[in-house]
Amino acid sequence: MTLPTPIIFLCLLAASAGMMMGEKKGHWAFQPLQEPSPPANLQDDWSINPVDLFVLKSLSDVGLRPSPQAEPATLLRRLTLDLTGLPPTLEELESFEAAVTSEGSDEAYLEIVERLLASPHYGERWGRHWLDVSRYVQGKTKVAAVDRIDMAEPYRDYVIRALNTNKPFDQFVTEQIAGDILAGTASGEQSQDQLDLLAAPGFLSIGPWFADCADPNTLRMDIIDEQISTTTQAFLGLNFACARCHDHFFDPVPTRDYYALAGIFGSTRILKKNSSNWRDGRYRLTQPEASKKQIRAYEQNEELISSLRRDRWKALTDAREELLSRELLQKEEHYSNALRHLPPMPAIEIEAEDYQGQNNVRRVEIDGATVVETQRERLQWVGWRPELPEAGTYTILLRCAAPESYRVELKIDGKSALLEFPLPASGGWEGKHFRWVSLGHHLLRSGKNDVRLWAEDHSYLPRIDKLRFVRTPPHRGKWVNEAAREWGLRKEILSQLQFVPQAWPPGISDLERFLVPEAVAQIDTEIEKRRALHAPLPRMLAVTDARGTQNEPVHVGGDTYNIEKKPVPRAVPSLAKHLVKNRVIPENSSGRLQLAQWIVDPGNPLTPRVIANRLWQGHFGTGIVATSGDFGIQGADPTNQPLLDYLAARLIAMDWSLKDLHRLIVTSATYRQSSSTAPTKTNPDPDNKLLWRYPRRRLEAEVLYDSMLSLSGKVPRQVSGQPLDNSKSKDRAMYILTSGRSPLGMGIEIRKMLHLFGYDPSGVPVHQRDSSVNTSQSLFWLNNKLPRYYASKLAEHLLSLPDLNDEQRVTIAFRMILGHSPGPLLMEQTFTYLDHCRIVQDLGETASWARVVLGLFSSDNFSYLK
Amino acid sequence: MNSFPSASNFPSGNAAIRAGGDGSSLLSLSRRGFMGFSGLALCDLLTRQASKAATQTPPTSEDLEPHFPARAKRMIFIMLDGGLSQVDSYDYKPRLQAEHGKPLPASIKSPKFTFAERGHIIGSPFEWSQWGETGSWASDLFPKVNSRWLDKLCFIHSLHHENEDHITAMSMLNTGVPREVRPAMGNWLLYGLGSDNSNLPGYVDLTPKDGKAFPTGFLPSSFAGAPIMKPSRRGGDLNWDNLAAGFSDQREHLDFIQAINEEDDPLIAELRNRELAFRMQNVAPEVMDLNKESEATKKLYGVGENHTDEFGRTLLLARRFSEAGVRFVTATHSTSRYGNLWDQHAGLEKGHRGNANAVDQPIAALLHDLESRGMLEDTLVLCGSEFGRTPSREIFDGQMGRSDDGRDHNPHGFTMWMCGGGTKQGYHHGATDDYGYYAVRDRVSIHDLHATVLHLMGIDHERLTFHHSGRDYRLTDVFGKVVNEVIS
Repeated sequence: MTLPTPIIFLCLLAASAGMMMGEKKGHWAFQPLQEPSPPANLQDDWSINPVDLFVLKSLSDVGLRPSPQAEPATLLRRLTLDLTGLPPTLEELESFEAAVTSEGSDEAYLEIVERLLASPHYGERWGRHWLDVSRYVQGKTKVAAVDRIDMAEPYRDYVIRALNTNKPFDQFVTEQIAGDILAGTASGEQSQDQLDLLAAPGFLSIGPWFADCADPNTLRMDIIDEQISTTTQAFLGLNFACARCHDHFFDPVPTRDYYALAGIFGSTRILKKNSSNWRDGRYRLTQPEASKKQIRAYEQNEELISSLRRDRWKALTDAREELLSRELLQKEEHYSNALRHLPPMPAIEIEAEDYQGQNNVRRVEIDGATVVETQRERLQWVGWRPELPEAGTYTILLRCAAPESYRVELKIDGKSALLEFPLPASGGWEGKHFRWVSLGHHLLRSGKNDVRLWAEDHSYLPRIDKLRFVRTPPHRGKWVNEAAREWGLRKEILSQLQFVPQAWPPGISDLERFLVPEAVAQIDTEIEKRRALHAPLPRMLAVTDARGTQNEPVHVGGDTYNIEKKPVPRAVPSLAKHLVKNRVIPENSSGRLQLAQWIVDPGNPLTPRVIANRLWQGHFGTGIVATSGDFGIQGADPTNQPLLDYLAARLIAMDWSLKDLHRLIVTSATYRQSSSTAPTKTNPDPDNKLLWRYPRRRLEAEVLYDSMLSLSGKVPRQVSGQPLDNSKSKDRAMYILTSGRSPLGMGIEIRKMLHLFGYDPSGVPVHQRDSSVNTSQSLFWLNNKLPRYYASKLAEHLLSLPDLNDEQRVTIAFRMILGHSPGPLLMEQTFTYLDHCRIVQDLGETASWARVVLGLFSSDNFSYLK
Repeated sequence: MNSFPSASNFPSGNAAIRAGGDGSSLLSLSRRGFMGFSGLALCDLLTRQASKAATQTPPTSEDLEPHFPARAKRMIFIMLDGGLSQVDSYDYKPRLQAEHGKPLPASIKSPKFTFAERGHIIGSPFEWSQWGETGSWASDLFPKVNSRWLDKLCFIHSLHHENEDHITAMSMLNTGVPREVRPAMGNWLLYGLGSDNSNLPGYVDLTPKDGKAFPTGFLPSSFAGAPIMKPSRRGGDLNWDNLAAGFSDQREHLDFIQAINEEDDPLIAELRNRELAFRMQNVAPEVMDLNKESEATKKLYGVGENHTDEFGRTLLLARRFSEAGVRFVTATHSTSRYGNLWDQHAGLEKGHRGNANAVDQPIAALLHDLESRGMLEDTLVLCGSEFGRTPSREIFDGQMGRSDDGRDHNPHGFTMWMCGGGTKQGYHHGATDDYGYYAVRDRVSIHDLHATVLHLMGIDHERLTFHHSGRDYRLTDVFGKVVNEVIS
């Protein structure tokens, strides 16, 4: 690297560093967190809980009053979409209205708060918020060609479970950074909890794949950088990545802190292997997603199979010894004489490594010989172009080795010559296991022939050392029989020697097929039986401590190849040193556990503030700190710091219970305000930063999609308080493949839609969704077939309801889709449009209703939370 | 249509109207008027955003001043996907012919990591000669471009970066970083300059590799490029996402939606967008309808000819979009499925020749067409690949067997050319070593290229910034120096 790497960031633009240095320590977010007492002496006939007092105070200070409470139906829709990402069903609306009548709106509201917090869909909705921060993209983390499943799914499901079971946030953080370390010290059977501990640190491994980077050293530092950047932003609201090249210009993050963290992540293993050959791929480390018991059973079975293989080898060795002493050594001379008297069979021998074309094959050195092998399981082949002196029948022999039998297809000049031919297992991959295998005789032409071996899809080829093409005359069998009889020899051995004269004395592998002691056949049956017994276990990403820990030196200017001599010891950040207890990292551990403990230390001024702010952002669209991923000096100032501190302090006091914090927020009068209060001309806060009304906002892409889906009946609601059944939710946007790697067949329109409405499929952390409004979105509602499809599904449903007149149907449609009935004027306008569709456009009944439904889908009321 | 407000009241095609967190900001936006976006000149405001901008609001200031007068108002980027070999096109290295089959001298070091084994030197299989009045050396790969245009092109022979593979190199060339998701040149230009046509998006990405424009990274999606897939042979060429009317009589449908919205408090921005979308849907297909062109023009571009039909259509479309006011058009020459069309690891002569035949006439036609319409003066055309190719052969194990008649990737020294838009004519900037491997004289990094492009478009690359994730970002990161020598 001659230039500084391009990871240097634009940190210096806006302000002079010197000025900022002075500010570092005094910055509000680094001050100790203390629970402020709620403001008193306010003129207040509005507040419900202390949250409101803080809001009311900031409003009164600028002469504003809060808005009145929103309509009950609006609140039901707001709360249901906010907490579960799904619109309330018609039944839910009806029973809520009944409850409002019988118990009063307040009681009815508190009941739905409890119902929704216990809903299994809560974890999906708020899990998706967290998955944005942890840069999870469905389908991104597929190990191409090795596994067709999404390796990060277990992490995603862990997040949903953790939220549904209200896992304390400090524990949630610790598990995502160091779950594997916690699991290592835990004992006993592997319950779901144990599995969760292993799945949680997937957080560190689901980042970008970087598969094509040619330089492994840069790649290593890039991966570490990605982990540091994601982790520090997610939990601390600071991006340490600036400090890769220089001390952070604004925030108190010196470069040494960065490399102290780099040592921690560098001593953590997420890659199976960081090979210097990019062609080998950079696969993530994986582990079985199974209980210890299942793994043990699987390993025992594997062990049994290897032991059977050892027995088999032993049986063959013994048989060889016997054959050698009984047959070959005594008759060596006879064999050579016999061979000499047989007509010669000219042969062309080629080294396998001189292949002329391959897909996914490489050369390796085995015991001094070069052989070829397949790199990974996928559709693959290797081919040669032997040049033969004359046309005719040739026997094709392959010298190869494999621990188990792989089926191959032989293609000659593009035509299949052998299909699903099982190459016999030869005991292993090593030099001693190589043996000659005949692929039978085939007609070849003079000159160049194209000979290819294809592996089965998602399987391997054996390691291949050499090929022989032996000209085979038609009456060979007769001659061999005669010679064997004449010299008293075994004809199959003689025949083999005729094909490959230099193989003397034959090794075990070469002899195997003449020996065939009975034991071997029995063992083979047993092995087959064992193999059939256990399908491979499903796998998930694995994160572990590396075998040796390693401290990282400072890389000057972020340059991979310009490093300081002395490594920086692994350590937690020096930030807020006086507030948080320092934690010493043991020699033999990466230090992730200590880092996690430091992050969730109650003295850490950032962690509770950052998460409380994220919750607020989820409920109100914008955080109290608008830059929820940046609490540093360049981030936005809090609009109401006492409120944020109160929430953060309460969170710790409530044992980091997120659901309790949700409850505190959504039961407040602030949350229940109407969104439709018009601003006065002199309003000092036109952007509603102080929340004088509920902020109306565009719903996220997933919510729009899931709403259409659930309105047409595709997401069955699951019972509150029961664990989530993923299979029932499987059609929700968060479960479908959306990354660039997913096959186009998986609903390209859905992918387009999600992207269009602000979902970022690129796999970088997203702290605030892009909620910009553009014309393409309007074009989507107007012309895309996806909303049209769901509109017609819902229209069919509406028409299937018996005994209703048009007015009742329209009312139901409005209530289902928008959560309220239309006024008389709108009712009339709907009829006008319906009739236009029926009469002027001459559309059928379903198509006309589908237009009306599409109109409702396209309306602002559908897309906006109010 | 008569009842609609006039076009100038609308924002440009894809310009952002952020909902922010609240309806009120939409109102305040609309109050200030949207004209700031049509033909929006670049503003200091963009730098002002570098301060504590909490939300990513697009510029709305009314008194926008450009950094300096723009030489180019629009840009067309012809992307030869896969890696055009500089030593077989425009970077003449007679030594390669002379030393064909010999190893590269030790003084030409191997890069730290390469894709394949490095073989010996191969001479260029193409005929080289001097062209035009400037007598510039070029191979016979692009005879039509060379015979008519070589004197008017502005070459940079000393481009370089360090990314050996297509993905990172492509990302580098477009976004300035190899492995992160950041906005591309077109997104930045749109962010900085807006669009000149309120009915069209400001950035059109023609036949992008995977059918996707570059993600906008941290820039709001309203600055995204609009991808348009391969123009089909069957008339119309209407493949634009969601532009084809889903059903007829949409006027009544829009009125119905409006009625629903009005019962609630109307969101003005949404209404405007919906109306704009409706109009865009009427305008864009017209722009994309190649039948509006004369037979002579179509013939000029090679439309209808076997080899040139596809790219001829693409570049004709590029010209139509530019003419209609689209700020930035990318035209990628690639295969949509496999990509890396110009990636001749093997079969260099056949592959490059075939590719060149497909693009030579269309490119010459585009330049001619722009010139005759008086557009070349203020249209910047940039042409090249994500990297060049090595002077040495590559031992290549491919589907067709083992071969050694191709060249490996070479990001260490490669050539691109510019034309029009305030660039010098017949000028050659920088040079590679005697073998065309490394850029040695007047080296130009990708950041320098970006800085230069922005400069020609009237933007100071150091002042076009976006605050995100605790930092101010630029297209040129912390690098970039305008290559003043190429500016006329």
